[in-house]
Amino acid sequence: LRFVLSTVRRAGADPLIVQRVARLKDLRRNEPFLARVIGNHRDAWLQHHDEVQGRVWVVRRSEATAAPHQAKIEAFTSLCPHLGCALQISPARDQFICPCHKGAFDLSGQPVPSEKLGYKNPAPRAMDTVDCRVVQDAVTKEWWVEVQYGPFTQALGAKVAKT
Amino acid sequence: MRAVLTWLDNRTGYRRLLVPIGRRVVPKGPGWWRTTASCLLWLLIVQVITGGLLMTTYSPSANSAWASVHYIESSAGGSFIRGLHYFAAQAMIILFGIHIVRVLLAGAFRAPRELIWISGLILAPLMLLWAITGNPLSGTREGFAQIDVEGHILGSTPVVGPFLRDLLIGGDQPGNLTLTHLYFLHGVPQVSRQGRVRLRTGPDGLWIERLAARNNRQSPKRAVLSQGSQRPNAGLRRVSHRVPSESPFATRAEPDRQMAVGRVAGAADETWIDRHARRSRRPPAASAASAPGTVSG
Repeated sequence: LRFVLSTVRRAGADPLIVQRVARLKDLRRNEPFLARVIGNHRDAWLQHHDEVQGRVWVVRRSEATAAPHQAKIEAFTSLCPHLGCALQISPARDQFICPCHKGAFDLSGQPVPSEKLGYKNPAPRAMDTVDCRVVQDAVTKEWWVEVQYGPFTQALGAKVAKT
Repeated sequence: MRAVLTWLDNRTGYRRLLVPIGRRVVPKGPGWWRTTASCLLWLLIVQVITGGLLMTTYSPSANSAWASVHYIESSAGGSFIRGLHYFAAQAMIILFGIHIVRVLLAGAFRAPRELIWISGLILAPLMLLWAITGNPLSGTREGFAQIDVEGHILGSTPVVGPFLRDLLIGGDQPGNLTLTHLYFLHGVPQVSRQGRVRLRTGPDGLWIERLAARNNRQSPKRAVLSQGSQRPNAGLRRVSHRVPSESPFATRAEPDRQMAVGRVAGAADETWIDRHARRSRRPPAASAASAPGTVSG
């Protein structure tokens, strides 16, 4: 039994990934940018190094004229809080759309009301934000967005980190 | 072959076990609609055989599942076998729908044929299980995405959901353990299903047959059958090869083949339970004439 349950104990063993994912100068105000999060992942008997572990939608909220260290940035995991499919940007680039069950979110990550969609939005909560900050590279002096990436439990009304 | 089987029969007497199925009577004669269960059963056998063949080459690991399937597909024989496995699976689902409707319309869920309905009830979740566990085994992106979503659906079950999801997926995201778990789940239900088929149609299942025979001992219809008399029965073609009951097959050349046909047919409509006297609300005229008692039951 302990042998069978070992898979459960190991679940969620991957630590948060802290990583620079996007250059600040590449971000336009309110235009979501899809960035990859590269990391290590242990898949049972295999250790994967430097592979894509997830993606984040990074959105710059502040004007381009704002000082870099004061730039307001938001980042969301690309996983739909409903059942974990990868959220896409709508053709009009004004909504996040889940291809699996048509969950829809506005650019601030809030679920689009069902009345506005014309069908029931399956989203149980807003998109999951991940902690992010703006950092300056010590060598190149470039400004980067750094995120702390980790997955959250799907299908719950509240955001609960998978730990 | 005949010699080998005879040798086997001399030592096991297996042919005797098949007698009841070979002699079985389909009340209203054979017909295509009565073959739905038979087709289901044979599709299942196709699935077991092709699945076993695929197991010889398939590798259930996140790294090699897709590649091994591609390898199978790259040979003509492998492609054919996997195609059979794939399309027979689709056909089973369709046939199952037809079968259930047929059983429903025929009222075959009523006594004494409840087992037909119950076996369908067991088959339904099994087919669901096979579909869910089988699809991601191909190791495609689509398959992984599918089991990821289904894992989250499982995980959203109150209380036990997260535990069950972790048990199935074996980690944050689908990977090696997921595929091996699915591989296990895809293959293991065969055992229970096989057991059930045997219970229903195989030699082990004959105790039900004997039980029914014992319960029916007073039934004139049953008695007529077991004596192998010359009762005329226009619609009941399958009993036309009736042979003396003392030595069912020793005296004739064809019985082995007939036995095989009877065996298949026996697997077919599962209506051996039909022989229960209570079911025959409208018995054949000859039977009714000689045994008015069966009508009332």
